[in-house]
Amino acid sequence: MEDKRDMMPEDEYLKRMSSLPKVKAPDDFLQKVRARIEERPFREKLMHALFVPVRIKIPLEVAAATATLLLVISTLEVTKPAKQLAYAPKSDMAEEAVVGNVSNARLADEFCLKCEKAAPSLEERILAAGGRIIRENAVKDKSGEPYIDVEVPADRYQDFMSKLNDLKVSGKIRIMPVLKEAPHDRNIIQLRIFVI
Amino acid sequence: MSGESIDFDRLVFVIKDKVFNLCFRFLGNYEEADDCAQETFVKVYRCLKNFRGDSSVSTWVYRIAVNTCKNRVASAQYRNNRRAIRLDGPVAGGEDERLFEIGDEKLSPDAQADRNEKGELIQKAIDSLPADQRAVVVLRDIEGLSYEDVAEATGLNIGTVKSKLSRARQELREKLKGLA
Repeated sequence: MEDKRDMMPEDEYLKRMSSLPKVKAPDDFLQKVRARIEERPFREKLMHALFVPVRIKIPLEVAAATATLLLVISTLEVTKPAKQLAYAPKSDMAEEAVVGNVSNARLADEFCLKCEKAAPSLEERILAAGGRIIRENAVKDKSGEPYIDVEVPADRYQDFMSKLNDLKVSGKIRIMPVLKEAPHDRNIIQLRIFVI
Repeated sequence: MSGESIDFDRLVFVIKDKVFNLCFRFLGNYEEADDCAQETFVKVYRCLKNFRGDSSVSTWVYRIAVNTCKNRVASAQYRNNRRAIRLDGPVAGGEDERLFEIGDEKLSPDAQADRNEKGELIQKAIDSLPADQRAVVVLRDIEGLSYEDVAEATGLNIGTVKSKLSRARQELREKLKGLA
């Protein structure tokens, strides 16, 4: 039950509330309301700004949308190879080279190549660059990817790599760190090219 | 009476002061009340053709006014303004002060000042209520609407109106006990 001694009496409360001064609208109230009614609503203004005159604005908007679309597509195309390279899995052999002992340090000169599946010109390029295919597409390694083992004379290694780099630039292969030396001849470098 | 047969200008002329007072008592600020009352009548104008005459026109307008005021109270801009006003305190000669000059001219200056001060305290107490309670207090205790009309204007049922009104009155009576 409320303690009525701590409250304003109800009849006095009602009297005070009902006798509060009545605030009147300003004299120009109706004019202000009329002016606001005349104002075009925001949605209508927006539609007008966007589409009127239709003959000019629609073609402009279509052109702008097309240009934006082309820009997005071309940006995606340019960044695609870089993204694929960034997410390509490392091979075990590359890891071996990284964590290997000091006597294996020169193996760091060798490269593990990953490329797209059987690019038609890859074998020709390997041969033209002085490389020799010693094992092709036959066995899958632990990662489950087919590969090509290639031997390259050490003195033609730079030339070989630059020719493969042309393919890399055109987006057909990606080059990763390195694998192993030829056991029988230290003047020969063996590369393993993974075919994804 | 349906919306199509209503003369809008005449409606504004007849009801504008009541709507304005409702907005002022709800919002506690003259400029906000002016803006809200105008917005109310703009909405009335745009919806007038949809008015079916289920309730009286004034109750329908009150309902629009109450909803507009509630939206205003809920808006971030209004809350920021209120906070700024409370930090700054009342401005001498400002709109808030001018409101309480409206009164019975037969009162002496002292009595008028006392009445203004008390009116301000009552308004502050009303401002402190939640929006629903504020709406029922303003409509019932200040504007003098019937419970049915209050229910119609607030969209609440009569039981809820009575309950909210009782709670609001209790709170106001506690806050205003010093004036007794």
